[in-house]
Amino acid sequence: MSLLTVEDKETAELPKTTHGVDAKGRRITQIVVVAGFVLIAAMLFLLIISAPVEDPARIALGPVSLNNFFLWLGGLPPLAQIPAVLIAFGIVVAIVLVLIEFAPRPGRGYFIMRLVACLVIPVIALMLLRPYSNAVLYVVAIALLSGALLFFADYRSRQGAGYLFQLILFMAPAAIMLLMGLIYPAIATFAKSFFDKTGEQFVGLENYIWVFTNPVGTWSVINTLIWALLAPTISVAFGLAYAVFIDRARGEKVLKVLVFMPVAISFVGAGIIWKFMYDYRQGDQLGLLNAIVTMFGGDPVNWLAVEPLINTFMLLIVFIWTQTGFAMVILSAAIKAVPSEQLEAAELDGTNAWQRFTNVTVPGIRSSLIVVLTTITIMSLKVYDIVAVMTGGRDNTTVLGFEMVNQQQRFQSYGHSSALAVVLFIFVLPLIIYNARSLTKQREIR
Amino acid sequence: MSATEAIVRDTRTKRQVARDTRRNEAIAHKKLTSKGATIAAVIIAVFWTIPTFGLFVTSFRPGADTQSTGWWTAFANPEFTFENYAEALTAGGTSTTLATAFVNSLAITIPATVFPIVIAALAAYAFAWIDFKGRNMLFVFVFALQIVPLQMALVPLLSLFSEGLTINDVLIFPGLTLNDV
Repeated sequence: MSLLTVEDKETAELPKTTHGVDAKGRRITQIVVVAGFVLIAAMLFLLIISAPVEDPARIALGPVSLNNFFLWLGGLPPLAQIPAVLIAFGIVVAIVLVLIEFAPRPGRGYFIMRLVACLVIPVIALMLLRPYSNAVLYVVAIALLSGALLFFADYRSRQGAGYLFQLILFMAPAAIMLLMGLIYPAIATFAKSFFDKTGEQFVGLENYIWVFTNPVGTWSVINTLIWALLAPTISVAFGLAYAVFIDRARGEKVLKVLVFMPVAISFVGAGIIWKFMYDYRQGDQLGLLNAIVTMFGGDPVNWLAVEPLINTFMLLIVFIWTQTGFAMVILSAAIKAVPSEQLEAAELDGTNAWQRFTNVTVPGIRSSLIVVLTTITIMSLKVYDIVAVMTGGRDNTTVLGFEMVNQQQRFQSYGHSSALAVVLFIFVLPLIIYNARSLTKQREIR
Repeated sequence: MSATEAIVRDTRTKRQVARDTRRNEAIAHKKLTSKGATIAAVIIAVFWTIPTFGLFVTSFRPGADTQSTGWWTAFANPEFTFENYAEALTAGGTSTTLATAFVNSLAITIPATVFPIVIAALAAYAFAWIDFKGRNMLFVFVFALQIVPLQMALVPLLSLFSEGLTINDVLIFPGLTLNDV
């Protein structure tokens, strides 16, 4: 399948009109587009302030709706559901690809194709959601208006008709998913963090004060910071050392698999495995750690209840155990990419192994090191499963990610939960900014 | 000196050079790796494997034994069984057995792998090949969205699916009514 690129299109037949390039044409386009957006915003406003109706009917395109699709899917035997979902997705992608391939071409037929696609697709997509009867007029109007606006902006775009259309089609699936799955929930959570338990009474910063004064809240903040500082450094140190040790050694693949294995185990599985290790009881020990302690004549220790912080370190070990393999695999690949000529040259210059490591290998794998460090830091900030499985947050082992769910499910306190989420968000923010900045730098270099 | 003689000498030199290169590479290789490092790696690998190995051994021990003695005693008086596996696959504690849970895993794993790759490939193509205003800004913004913790998205998504979209008490879209599926 050959997709039209910008380069291709410049050689293709250009539109005869000049409204895309001359100043007057551009200004008219801009005015119309802005007016269109204002109109859409006005429609949305009218929809929101329209009088509420008690239990209105739902309008759908006959039996065709997203709801009925899921109902039909649920009726199928479990194994038939997988291909059914894949086929439905495949049809949607096929429609998008056909439009991307054909619609941007110049010509009367393709012009009509674009117009129909712009007007029909938004309407059908919104009608599949079965809007309520009091909203249906606004919904259809908004869909038609945005479709027409897109068509107009596309028709008069600087790069020629079809350019914007193609761009939107490429981006739309990802944009819709991100909006629904990440942006909307993030905004909703942020808004909820200023309301009380039930989400009706505005309480200002009370939830944030709770996070930093209540022992549960403060412990979750302290523990999260400990996790974020220790987990990445220790697991990267182990992973890097291991990757260097096994580099070019005999049996490298087997050694790699042994340490990589915990990565493939879920956090829940890892928690159960280590519960065995930490097991505590009187008499015969089941846990290896306590068996060793009693073998040397000590008393068995309840590892997961030793305060302060020892139990958090015990949980950290589980996380480090799973993440070392991840760090090792990526760093090992990076070390292999360091030219062996450089190492040999350094060797001829009379360096020892440690000098070769710090002066040749580490600068060579710097970008991989940063990626691994930031990834593991973000993962350790979001950790939930290990704490939930092993201690359930008891004995001050709670972390932000766990307490967030705990507050919401056990105590039904959406306000506290949302405030914890926003605090977590603030902790992750510097890392993302750092990552994003190095990313833009890389893109500029390219 | 005949032409054939020259060729023979040529191949001989070539072989000699190749042999020397191999030997030098082997020496260099040996100098860049060390016995001590390999031994340290093996020790780390053993420590990393013990927890999983313990679970593996436990999975073959009779249920009563796992409750009374540690897994390492199984080697002193071996008594192994496949009973645990049979039980887990056929009769779970709840109505869901491991076999149906496995089908559920497939139903999540396969679409969850295919969908993001296809959708992301479309967007990535636009980011890579189509030049538009604010491309870098948008790219960084999309990248920065990984900041949102999954737990943060769960509650709003659940209410969106089950209760639909209602703004300012005006009903716009209903939720999915899938209770009887």
